[in-house]
Amino acid sequence: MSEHRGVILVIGPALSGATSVANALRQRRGGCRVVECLGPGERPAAVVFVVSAAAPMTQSQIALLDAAAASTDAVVAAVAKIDVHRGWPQVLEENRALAASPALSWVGVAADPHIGPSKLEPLIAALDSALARDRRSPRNQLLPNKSHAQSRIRDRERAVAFRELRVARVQLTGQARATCASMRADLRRDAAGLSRRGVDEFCSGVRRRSARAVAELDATLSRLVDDLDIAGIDIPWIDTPGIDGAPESCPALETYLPRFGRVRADRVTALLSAGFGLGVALTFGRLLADLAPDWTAAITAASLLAGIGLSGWVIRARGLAAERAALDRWVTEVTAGLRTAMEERVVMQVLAAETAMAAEATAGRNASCRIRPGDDRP
Amino acid sequence: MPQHPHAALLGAGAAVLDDSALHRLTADLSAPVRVAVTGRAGAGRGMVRRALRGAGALLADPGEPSDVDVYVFVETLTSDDVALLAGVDRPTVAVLNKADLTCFRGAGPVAVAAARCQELQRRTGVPTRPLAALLAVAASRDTAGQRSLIDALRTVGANPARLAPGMRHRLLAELDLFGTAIAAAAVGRGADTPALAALLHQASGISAVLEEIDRAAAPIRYRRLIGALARLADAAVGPRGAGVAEFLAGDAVALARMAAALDVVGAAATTVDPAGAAATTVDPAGAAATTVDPAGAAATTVDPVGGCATHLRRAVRWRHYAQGPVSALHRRCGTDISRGALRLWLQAGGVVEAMP
Repeated sequence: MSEHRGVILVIGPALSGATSVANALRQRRGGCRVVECLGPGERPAAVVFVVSAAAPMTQSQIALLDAAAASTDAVVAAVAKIDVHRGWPQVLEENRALAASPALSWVGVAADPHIGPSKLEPLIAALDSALARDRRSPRNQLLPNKSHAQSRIRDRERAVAFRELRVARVQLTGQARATCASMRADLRRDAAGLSRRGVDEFCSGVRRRSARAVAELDATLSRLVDDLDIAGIDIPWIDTPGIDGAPESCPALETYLPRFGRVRADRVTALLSAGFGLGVALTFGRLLADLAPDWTAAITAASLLAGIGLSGWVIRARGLAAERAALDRWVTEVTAGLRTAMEERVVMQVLAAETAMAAEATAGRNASCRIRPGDDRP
Repeated sequence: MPQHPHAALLGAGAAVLDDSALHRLTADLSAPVRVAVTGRAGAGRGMVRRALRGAGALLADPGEPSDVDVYVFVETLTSDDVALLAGVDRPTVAVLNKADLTCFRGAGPVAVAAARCQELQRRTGVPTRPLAALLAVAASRDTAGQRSLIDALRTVGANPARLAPGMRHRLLAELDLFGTAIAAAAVGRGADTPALAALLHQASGISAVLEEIDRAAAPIRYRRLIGALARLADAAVGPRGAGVAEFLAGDAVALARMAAALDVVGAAATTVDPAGAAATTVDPAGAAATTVDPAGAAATTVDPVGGCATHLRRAVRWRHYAQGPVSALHRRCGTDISRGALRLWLQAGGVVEAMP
């Protein structure tokens, strides 16, 4: 632990003057080891973040400062090249406003001046006071370890979350499939025993049931996302716009026309039914007329009426059978479309969650890798 | 307003034809490109805007679409700058501002900044030039302002201690350290107001930036020319259309298209390889072959160096270029250059023979 006491890390973006500051510090403070790049496993006692006075910091430079400040509390930020950039006080103030930590001490330095004498005293004073503060508080020695342990715990949590996500995907896909299969069986049974009047209600019932199935799936998915949110990962909710909760990617739901134009089929049915009715009427009429020749007129009229009634009944029965067959086909189509849509929804949401987790993992890794100078170089 | 060579070519045609549509077209073509200044906060975008306006560039108003973007940065490109420059969809020129404060050792700040710009351009592929916007603004100041400056600079050269504090502040604000140093030296050598303005102009590097903007605008000028010619084709039908149609099919238009196309491929080649692209990719005779004689009407002086065979070779080469793996714009450019070279070949006495 004691060899870490003396390491001062000087970092900054490219051409910010970090090397000059490091050289000047090396000359002025013989007791400390001033480095621009940490060795493996090394921890700095203090970090000097150098940024040029030419312009206020950019986002990448702010990120570099944040990464530098994460490893230790003794951080001093320096605005370099104040010998040529006369506007450095404004730049310093803007940088102070841009930095995430308002307690960070900012100083102006001219480590390797092109004009006038070098100006390093404020930096050395700030560095000394930062080191003294660091020595007083025991928290700083533990902080890097703590952050390492935290990152390890985070890694493990992330691995568990990934596994859970995969399991959830398999389960949810299976659930969607089972829901659709049972729904199809139910609906087909219903469709087989449907009366003519019940068609409209049946159609709206199908829509209701698919909307309910999708809503149930959404509830499960949002529970999953909430669980992951608790684990500290911000997951976007993929909102698929639907009709009353029904998935938009299920086109079959809207396309069904139970009474589609079956004009030709209707005509054929009518013709055959009329023939059948006429045949029945003739057969019965002749049979009854032979049995009771006195009632011929009445029998003829009655058998004609019976024939007409019979052909009407056949037409209706035939129409109903056709309707039921069409509904049966439609139900199969709707459930297949619904299944696809639900599976797509599950896959999309899980994919979004995985992307968010991967992005978070990458950002975390980058932040821990950032604490190396030269990262800013394009 | 200076006429661009393409516009001048068409203008000559307009003078011959006396067609109002052609005159309008010429005016459209010589319209300057609108420049928008963007860049890093605190890098001196406002000063660059003033410098460009002072040097005669047309700046786009806020909210107005621009033709060319100028991206201002200082010292070096940060990763944010590189990410922004990689995503631009307009011709862009990157400008290293505050070049006068880069380094006061060795070859001097502007030379160091120029070398750095070349390195950055090689890395990003975006044309990059150094600029001391402060000096450019000082150079474009009026004579009265210059005269009081010269008095102060004379005092700096003779006895700096006698300089009034207000004047010292003014010198630092208007010229900064490098500007004051070179201006005082020049005044000490006896430079007058125009000489001082010329020196500051030259030291600021604004002319290189303007050249770069002009080069970056080559695709825009080419598109303008193509668009204008397409509109003119509408005028080629009708009672007075015969003259216009003849003009459109004539050598002047073909050569104007060739010149514009050469600008486009030349600008692209220079950006990719700043050192010696003009010699390798774009033939140096190309520009000379299509120079416009402002006196003669629609006259194109045929390059005496490029003989009959040279033109034909060039036509074949650009034809191959157009058929190669290049963008749609460059394909059109290659075709136009090839066509222009064939016209030049015919003018130089080439004879079309039937293939045996």
